[in-house]
Amino acid sequence: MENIYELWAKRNPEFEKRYQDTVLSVFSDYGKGVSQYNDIRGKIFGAGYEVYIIAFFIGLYYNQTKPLVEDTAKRKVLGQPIMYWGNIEERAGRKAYGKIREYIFAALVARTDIDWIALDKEEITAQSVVKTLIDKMEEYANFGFDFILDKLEQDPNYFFKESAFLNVFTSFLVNENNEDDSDEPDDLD
Amino acid sequence: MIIKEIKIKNFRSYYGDNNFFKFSDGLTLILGENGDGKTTFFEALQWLFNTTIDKGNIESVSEMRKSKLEIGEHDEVSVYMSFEHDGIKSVEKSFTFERTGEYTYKVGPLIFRGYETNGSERVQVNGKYLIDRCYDAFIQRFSLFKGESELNVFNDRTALKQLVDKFSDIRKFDELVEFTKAFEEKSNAAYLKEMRSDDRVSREAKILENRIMDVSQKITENRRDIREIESSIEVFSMKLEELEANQETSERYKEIEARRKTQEEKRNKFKALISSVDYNHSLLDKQWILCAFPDILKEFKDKCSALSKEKRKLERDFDKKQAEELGKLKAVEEIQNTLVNGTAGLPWYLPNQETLEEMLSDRICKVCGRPIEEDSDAYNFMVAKLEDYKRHVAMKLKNETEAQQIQEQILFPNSHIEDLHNLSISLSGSNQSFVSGIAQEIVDRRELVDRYRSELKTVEDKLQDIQDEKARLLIQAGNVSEAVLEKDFNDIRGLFKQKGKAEVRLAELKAELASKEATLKSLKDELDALDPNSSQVRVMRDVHRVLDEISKAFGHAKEENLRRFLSEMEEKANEYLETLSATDFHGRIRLVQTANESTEIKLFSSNGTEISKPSGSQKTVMYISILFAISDFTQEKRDEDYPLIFDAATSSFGDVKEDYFYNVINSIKKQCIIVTKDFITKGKVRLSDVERLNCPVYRIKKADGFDANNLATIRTTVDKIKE
Repeated sequence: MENIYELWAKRNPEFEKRYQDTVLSVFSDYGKGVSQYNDIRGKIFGAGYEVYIIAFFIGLYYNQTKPLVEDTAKRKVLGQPIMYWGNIEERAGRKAYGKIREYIFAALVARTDIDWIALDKEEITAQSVVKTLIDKMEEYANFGFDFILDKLEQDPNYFFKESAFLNVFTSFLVNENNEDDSDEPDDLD
Repeated sequence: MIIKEIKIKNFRSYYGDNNFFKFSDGLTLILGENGDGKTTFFEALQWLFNTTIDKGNIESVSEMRKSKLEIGEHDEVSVYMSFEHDGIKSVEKSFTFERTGEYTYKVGPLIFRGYETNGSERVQVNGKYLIDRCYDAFIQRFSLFKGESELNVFNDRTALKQLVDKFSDIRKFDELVEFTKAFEEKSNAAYLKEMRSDDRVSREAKILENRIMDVSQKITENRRDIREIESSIEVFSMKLEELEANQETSERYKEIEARRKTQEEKRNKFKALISSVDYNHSLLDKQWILCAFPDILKEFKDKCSALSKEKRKLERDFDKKQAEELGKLKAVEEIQNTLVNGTAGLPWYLPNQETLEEMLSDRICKVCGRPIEEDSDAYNFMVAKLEDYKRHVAMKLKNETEAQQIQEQILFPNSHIEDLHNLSISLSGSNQSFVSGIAQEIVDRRELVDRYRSELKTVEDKLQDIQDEKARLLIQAGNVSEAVLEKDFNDIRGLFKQKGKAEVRLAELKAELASKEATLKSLKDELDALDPNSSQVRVMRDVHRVLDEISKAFGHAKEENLRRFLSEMEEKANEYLETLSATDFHGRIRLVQTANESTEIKLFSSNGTEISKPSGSQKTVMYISILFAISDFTQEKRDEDYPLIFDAATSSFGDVKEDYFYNVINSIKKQCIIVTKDFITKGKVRLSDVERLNCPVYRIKKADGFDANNLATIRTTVDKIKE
């Protein structure tokens, strides 16, 4: 019996092709093969999956999914199996962060209706479970890409402010803080 | 000379022949920014006025014009000026150029033509002679100024001497002084000759004469030494003055630099601290992206533990059911083995199958020893007992198989839920508290960065203040470069020592001179006191006395004349200074004579203190005042006027002062052409300020659409923006 986590981690999620040039390549060296020049050229992230992770968490925290286009010709596989995500070289101030994979997996488990009892009883297949997990992941990320693209279309420099991405994520904390904070919106500086 | 018009054709950035300037008798302003062609305008004039060149130079040709020529085509470079100088005259300097190849050009001979009107007739003359006659190099020197640093015409120590030679009558005195001196010497010689031949006093006279000659020679030597020492002291003083000014500035500069470095280090430290955490990378590397994750983690953990619980319950239920089914199998076995009379029979396995079959085959009960008849009750009982045994064995086998089957049943062949549960457990504890701490970590970091930012701001403000202070210092220090200020001025002490020694020596020499002069006087008196016999000697003596007095008087008059000339010029300069400065503090100009017949310009406040470091605009006004004064002298002494042309590279005036300043210059009614970048802010002429001017204003500008890297795309356009 193969571990679901391992089966899932071997997979290579898909995304809609149109985000390649509009989002992925804007923030990363996606499609360039090598990520060692990102600092020189001023890209915010290195590998393409880094943007994918960002997009995924945006969908996750908004708890919004967006189904990918049906037409498989308009989709593309990311190219880097999940099992390698975060295994970056520790240089130029960067640090490996492989643990993130477990959290992504945990989130997918939490947010999918998989009959794990049936799986353990062998009433359903491991493949179908992994597919559900991957589908959910792709749909969250798809929402995230859409969100980023929307912001970029309003202001092409939106995410090039140092803390713009961080602000997106800390905005999910506002509700908690509102209990003791005033109504003032967060300073977006 | 009053310039009326200037036309520039194909001279450097002045492309084509549409570059036309018309000048008023007063001020004409030409506005332009760096690179707009101000200096080129000025250089075009210099080129025109220069009578020493006799060849055209391809470098003077407009790059744009050159690039537009086809091979074999030619055009012309020319600068034309019409002016008034005893009637209307004009000069034009030109040469042709032809493109002979891709990169080769041929330059034609230089043509310098002048025209003047003779009665009603226009006559062509040599341009060179016309310029030399109407605007010679000497006048140009006090008339054409490129850059404000050139305004101080007295930087060159010979300038005043030339000025004085040209404009005062002192030159004439020189001859008279020499003339009378010669008379005095001749009469002296004649007188002494007579003395020597006088029979009564010749011996004493000879002795005295020798002594006088001796002392006079010593006095001459003494005076020469004094002059030398004085001039070296002057050199020392000048150097020291410069050094001291720089020394003070240098010390302040160093102090400012030290502060700047400290603040810059601080700034770099804060910048490094601020950028030490990259917010984007931290989302991943520090997993800040999990800041909102605690709720989801809880969902996951709850789900895992619920699944685990459910699975265990299902397993327990399943086990229970299994046990029940096994129990049922056992219960079936219990019902057997009850006899007809109710007594419990032997267990079914006693006796066993072999014993029963043996007894039935042998027809005898091997327990009681009685035979058994076939079909008898005992026989049938035993048969039934055998069958029961067989049935039992079969049933036992079946039950055992069934139980085994029941026991072999498994509810959950897989353990994925256990895997999930294990993951959930591994994400608890320290991992969980790490995730819940992220939000606070971000807040803390941001607060820290805010603090760094506000400190950085303070540091940057301070740094800006220091930069301003440095800039002010450098402006005040004038043309001193930063490199000079960096240098140590250790030699200042050495200079002080040398100067001190020289001063002591000077005092000694002066004392010697005084005593020698006294000796000389007493010797002369003694000589005069001799009573010669001959009346001829007495006449000679009297003639010499008179000529001596006359010679002294001329010498004195020469000094007085120079003094008066300078004081007149000083007076005039101060009048202009006052007019140009209006209500501003302006001080008073003094022209101070130094050794070697040179002069320095100094500014004094009314309480007698020297203003040793006048500001940029004070200096400009001061020099312009003197130039106006000099110009007045040329007008008076030579009955001719000439323009003052300034190429002011930098503006010395604030916005407030400039229009006032230019209006005053305009009202002076002296032709002035000033090329300046005043009145231009961010590439635009401040038309409202220009409107307040009373003089014509031209705007020169690079035509739009030029390529910053290609000289051939640059041309200057000339627009008159105010009549």
